[in-house]
Amino acid sequence: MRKLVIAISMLAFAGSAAFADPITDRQALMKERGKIAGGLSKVVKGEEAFDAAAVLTALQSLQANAEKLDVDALFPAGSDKGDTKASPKIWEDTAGFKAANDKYVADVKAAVAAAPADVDALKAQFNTIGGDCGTCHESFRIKKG
Amino acid sequence: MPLLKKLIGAALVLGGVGAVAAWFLSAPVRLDAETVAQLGPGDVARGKRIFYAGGCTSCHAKPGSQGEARLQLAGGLQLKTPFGIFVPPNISQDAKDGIGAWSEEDLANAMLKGVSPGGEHFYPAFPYASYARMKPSDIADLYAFLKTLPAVAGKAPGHTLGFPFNIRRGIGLWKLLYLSPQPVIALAEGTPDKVMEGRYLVEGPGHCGECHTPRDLAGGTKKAEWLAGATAAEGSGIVPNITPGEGGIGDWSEADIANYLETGFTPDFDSVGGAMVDVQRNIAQLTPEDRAAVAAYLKAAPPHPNGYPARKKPEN
Repeated sequence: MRKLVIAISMLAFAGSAAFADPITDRQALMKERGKIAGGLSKVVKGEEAFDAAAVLTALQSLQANAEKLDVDALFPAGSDKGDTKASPKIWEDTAGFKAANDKYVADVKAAVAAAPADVDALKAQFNTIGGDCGTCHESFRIKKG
Repeated sequence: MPLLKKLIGAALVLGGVGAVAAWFLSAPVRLDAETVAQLGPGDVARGKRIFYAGGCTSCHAKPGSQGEARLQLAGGLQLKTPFGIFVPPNISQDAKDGIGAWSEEDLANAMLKGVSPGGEHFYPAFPYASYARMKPSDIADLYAFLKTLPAVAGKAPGHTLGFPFNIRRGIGLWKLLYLSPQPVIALAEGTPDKVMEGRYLVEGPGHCGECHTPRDLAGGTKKAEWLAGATAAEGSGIVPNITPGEGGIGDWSEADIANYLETGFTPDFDSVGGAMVDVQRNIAQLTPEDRAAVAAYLKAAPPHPNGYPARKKPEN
């Protein structure tokens, strides 16, 4: 019985540890986001041929990734401490942070809705989305060594 | 006590000599006639390039403005540094509150010598230590372009600085140490034009070294650690090492650097952040040739390890 209690509490602890690290979770989302954007950028730069279906799939995964970012869950109070580049401004100006995130999500959704038919259309959408990355990182991320 | 009297007398004389010397050494120095003669008439289109290379709007636009409003150079941003709060002034064409009444020579004295039309030193938060390396003809072009921008009324508030930084005259001594039109990195004869042009853009108008190079106690850039990255002057972060040294961007190709400056994406698809976002947007306005030149110079710059202390890893 005692062993069982210990085992369960260990499991619970491990479980909570897995869910209770918003820093790792949000970093994983950002990494995935960068990877998808990187794939699209190859098409924009002409390093890869434009394939409408493949581009749409990539944009859809970008949307799925964007919708997974729940600001309240992934940036809880206190998660400015630790191995993070998140700026304290996220918590000082949460409304501004959410607005920047909402704009990004909206722009990604718009790109999916208006599935680009050629590389120029993709380029325009990609520039808007890329601009959102910079706008958010300008105010809400701190570069650390 | 004749000895004590003599000593006090000697101290007073020495002190007086020192003060007089400091006064003369710290005097604002304007451009010589020869340089002024090189200014010539400016060209608006060429001046636009210099405007974006120089990033004037990053500091002088009204804080938070976007798009066309970035060309309203009313100043007012607060740069919170260890020396105090610097507020970039209004440099719009307003004759009273901006620089609308300045002559071309006034602008050249400001940018190349850090001296105002009234004969005072500017604080080097205005990066004239870099602009001093610019060609007079580029200042003339910039002047012509600035003339096409709107006049915006309203003076920006003054700086808020602690002692001794609030003594403007002291900047004259700082200039003796750090103000020089000479290039930072000596390039051998036969260096490709592309690298030379990149050096001009990076060390001069682009003033990259102002943030990317660590500073000494007196606030001058450490030329021996040129572009090695630094603790950010504002906030708690760092400015990255952009030399090919350890921690730097040695594994970026010239094309990677040029692409980053154009699109804001690093080779591993992280995005530009912090104050660099604005810089990148300005550099994106330049030609592909200009960005390629900057990239070529950065690849040719001497490698240094990071110019900022390693981060203490959090314990969890």
